[in-house]
Amino acid sequence: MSININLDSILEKRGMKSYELAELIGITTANLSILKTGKAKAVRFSTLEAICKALDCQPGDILEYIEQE
Amino acid sequence: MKSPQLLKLCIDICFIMLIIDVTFSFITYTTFVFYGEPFTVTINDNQKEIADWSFSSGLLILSNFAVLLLSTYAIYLLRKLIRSFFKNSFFTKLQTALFRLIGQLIVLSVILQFIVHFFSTVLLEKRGEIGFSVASGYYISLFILSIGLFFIYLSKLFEKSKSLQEENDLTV
Repeated sequence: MSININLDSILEKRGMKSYELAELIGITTANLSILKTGKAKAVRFSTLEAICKALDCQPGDILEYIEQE
Repeated sequence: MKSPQLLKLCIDICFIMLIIDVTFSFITYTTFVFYGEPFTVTINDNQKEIADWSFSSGLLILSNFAVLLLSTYAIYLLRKLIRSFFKNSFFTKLQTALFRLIGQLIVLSVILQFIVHFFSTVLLEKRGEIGFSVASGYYISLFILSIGLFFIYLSKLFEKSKSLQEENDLTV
């Protein structure tokens, strides 16, 4: 998929664990794992908003478009 | 979602009756093949009677029996399909494949029935007959054909639904 999820690097910068973020934004660790591994087909605005609020960042910091051939 | 109990019951009764029909038809046909007269067999919903054993009449009997077997197999698969809904799993590969196969079997049995009807008139009454009549029940065949085509369409809808469900499951 050409949309890259940079959640791992932001979590590392903030010194936060995956399960802590999952707990903060109210989703399961399994769903967060789907998002981190790039298996997700879509992200709800409410989830994105919660992630941005919890990590104090912008949607652009999490999602990155990479052109693929 | 509530399980389709009444539908299951109807299909089960239908299947048992078809099994009885297949058994008795098989006995009747084999008796006719081995002993010939005074035994006779009727085809096309008891419309045509075959009294003499010949290659063409044998072919008609065989085709008539094939229609019956196709219908029985379609009902058997429908039973299997209805039972799969009881597990509360929907849009599975099995269900999609069963919908397609049942539809194809229904379409095939209607076409074969039409062919048997046409050739039974040609071979037994030595005349050709092709036409459309409201009174002769052709509309029932057309309705059954529509049901078959609807099943095939339903399998395509199930395929689409499966991808939508997958997308929904992978939405975070």
